Amino acid sequence: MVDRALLIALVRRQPRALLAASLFGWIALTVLDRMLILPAICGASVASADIALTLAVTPPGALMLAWLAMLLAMMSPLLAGPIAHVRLRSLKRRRFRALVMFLAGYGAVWLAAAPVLLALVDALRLLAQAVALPALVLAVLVMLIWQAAPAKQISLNRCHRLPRLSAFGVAADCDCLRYGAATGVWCVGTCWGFMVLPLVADSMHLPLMAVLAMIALIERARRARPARWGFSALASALDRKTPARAT
Amino acid sequence: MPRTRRNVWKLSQPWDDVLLWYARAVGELQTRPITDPTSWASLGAMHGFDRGLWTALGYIAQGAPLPPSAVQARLWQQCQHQTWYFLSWHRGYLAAFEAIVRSAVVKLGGPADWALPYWNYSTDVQSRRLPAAFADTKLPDGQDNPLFTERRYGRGDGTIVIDPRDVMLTALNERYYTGTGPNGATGFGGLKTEFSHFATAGDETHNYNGQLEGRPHNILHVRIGGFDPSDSQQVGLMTNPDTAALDPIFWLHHANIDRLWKTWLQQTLPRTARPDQFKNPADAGWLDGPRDRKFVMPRPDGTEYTFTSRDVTDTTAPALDYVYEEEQPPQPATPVLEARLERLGVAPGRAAEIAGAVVMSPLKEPELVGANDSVLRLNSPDVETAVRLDRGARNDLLESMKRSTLESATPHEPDHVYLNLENIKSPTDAAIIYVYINLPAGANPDDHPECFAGAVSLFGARKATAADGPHGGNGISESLDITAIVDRLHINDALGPELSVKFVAGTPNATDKITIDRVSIYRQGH
Repeated sequence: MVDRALLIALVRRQPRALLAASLFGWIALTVLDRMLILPAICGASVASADIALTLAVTPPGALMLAWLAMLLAMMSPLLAGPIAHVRLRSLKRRRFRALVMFLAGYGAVWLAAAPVLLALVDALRLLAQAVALPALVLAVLVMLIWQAAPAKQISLNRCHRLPRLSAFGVAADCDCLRYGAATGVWCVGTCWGFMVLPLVADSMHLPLMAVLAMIALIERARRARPARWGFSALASALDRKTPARAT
Repeated sequence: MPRTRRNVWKLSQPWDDVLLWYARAVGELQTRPITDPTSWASLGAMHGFDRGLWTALGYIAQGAPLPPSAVQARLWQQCQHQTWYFLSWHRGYLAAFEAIVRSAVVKLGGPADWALPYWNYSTDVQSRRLPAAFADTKLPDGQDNPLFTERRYGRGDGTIVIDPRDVMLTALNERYYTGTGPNGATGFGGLKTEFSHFATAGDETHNYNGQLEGRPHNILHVRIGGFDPSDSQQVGLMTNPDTAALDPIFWLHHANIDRLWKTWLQQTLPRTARPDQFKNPADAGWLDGPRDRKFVMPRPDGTEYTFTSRDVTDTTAPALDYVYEEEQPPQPATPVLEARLERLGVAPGRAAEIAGAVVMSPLKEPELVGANDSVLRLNSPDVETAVRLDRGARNDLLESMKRSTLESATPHEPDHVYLNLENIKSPTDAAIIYVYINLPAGANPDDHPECFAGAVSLFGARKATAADGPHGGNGISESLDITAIVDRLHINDALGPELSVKFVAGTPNATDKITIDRVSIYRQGH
């Protein structure tokens, strides 16, 4: 289904720490799934009122934990390039601090995106009830429209951006924080369409997340390209070859 | 008996038979339609293609048929840059081109052993001139000369003026073929990548040139192509990777680069060298790659074949079957480490002893030592920036160069030092910049070769600067080995808390919109 050879090459190239972080995220997601915390976020089979009830009785800390586990599992492999950039372009004595600043900026954007995405999912569920269609069908439609939109390719292109990082002092901290936040914004822009799917899926949300994480990893690895309507990003993730730009 | 590729300046001037047959064959290829994979246009498009630009320049007529998309996707836009495939892909490309030209030469009644000449511009003043056969507008019989193009602007008026700094062969001293990664040693042949038509999948940090690709290859492209002084957006064919192979001089320039690869392989190995010094990669990724797209070439009959680096490592093998008139290194390689130890103050005899005892280990990851404080814009003919050095990192660097460290019981090679020009962004490819370290105030750069860090060309930078281009808008980066300069500063006790880096425009009026995100210094130990 996906370009397996590229996927294997990308996984092999991943720093072990990021692979470990991702694996930890998947284990945490599985545990949280069993504890019914994940279904509090993801659960199309449950009626809207029940979701509201589940959300109400699940502590916000646990919900945040589920969200963070999801980020760790799915997004860690996407950050290999930016993390290498931060690490190698920082003084050795400042590397840890630089990474913390970067991750703080990145994580803050994703945390801020969580309520917005959950509200969107709720709206989709309400719309699904109104038009008597499964919410998953609507989510697939939303995802496909976003995939085809030039804005998706623009977001993907911006994910490749490697900004200047100052070497010293507050400027270095600010640059790393800003870079983390910018990466977060373009990452949300790239992935939100995918995230909606498992958020409305029922028991299949974990396998769905795994497939989407693989597609996101391949999409992210492809070179930047002109943004126009179409499915070139998705097609290239599912295709074996990277064709030259035919004219 | 392999065919011999000859030095164009050792042929009779201006119209040796080798050049005359080349001109006639090029003229013949230029009459073939672009849908023919052996046509001049299709061979050029294999290097790079831009439909809008080619139409504007008249290389394709409005509405003229192009090859089917699948053929374009296989054959066109293959040139490998900023990658360890740079040398092997271009060798295969040259071999396919030479076979097609030879076939045309034979059809026209020429010799069956015709071989592509090369332009060795690194010897003397004359060698740096464009051979007359490429500058004449007419052939000896009065017909238009296919080797001439008006889109070869040089210094602006069509005259090619090559500066000695453009053709320095410092790359031949780089010991390892493959670079270690961004920021530090980029290797003689480039960084390890997948298929890299100016960018590789999966890693946007790999926007560095290998040493031979950077100098003299990229420099000569821009020096020959130049730009139209009445409209700087109109650049010469050689200046833009998407049109470079349409200039007949391209092939002689690349034959020289290919020759320098053979020369590098013949560098004498120092006694203590690691077995992979001055050797091609043994990595299957290089020998059999790339994984994500095949290198495809046309035969003279228009059929296609694929090749890998493994197929082109021996030029005397039947598939290639050529040698160069000159393959030996211009001068015997200095035992690099021994010379360096002497430079750092170790007595000559003792330096040889230490060099013999040094534990030769692979280079470690490069480590940042310092950087300038803001984005630099090259908005005047010479621009200077101060690179502040971190005290701790600088001390670590100095420690590795101390005589007591060098003469310890288990000596290691002292750190190498790199000047890193991060994310150079430019709206034009047509610029060359000369870089100097700690040039005395008001001094003429020409009087201080000891401060010269290297020349940088912006070949490919315009596309790399586009946000939706293959580099995602990061531009190109360069890593210049400034170890010898830093050694000298260290010995003279002049390596202070800052280094001054000066950028001198090598192409007047072409640098004012160029920016460099960060100028930094890295050290790389063993």
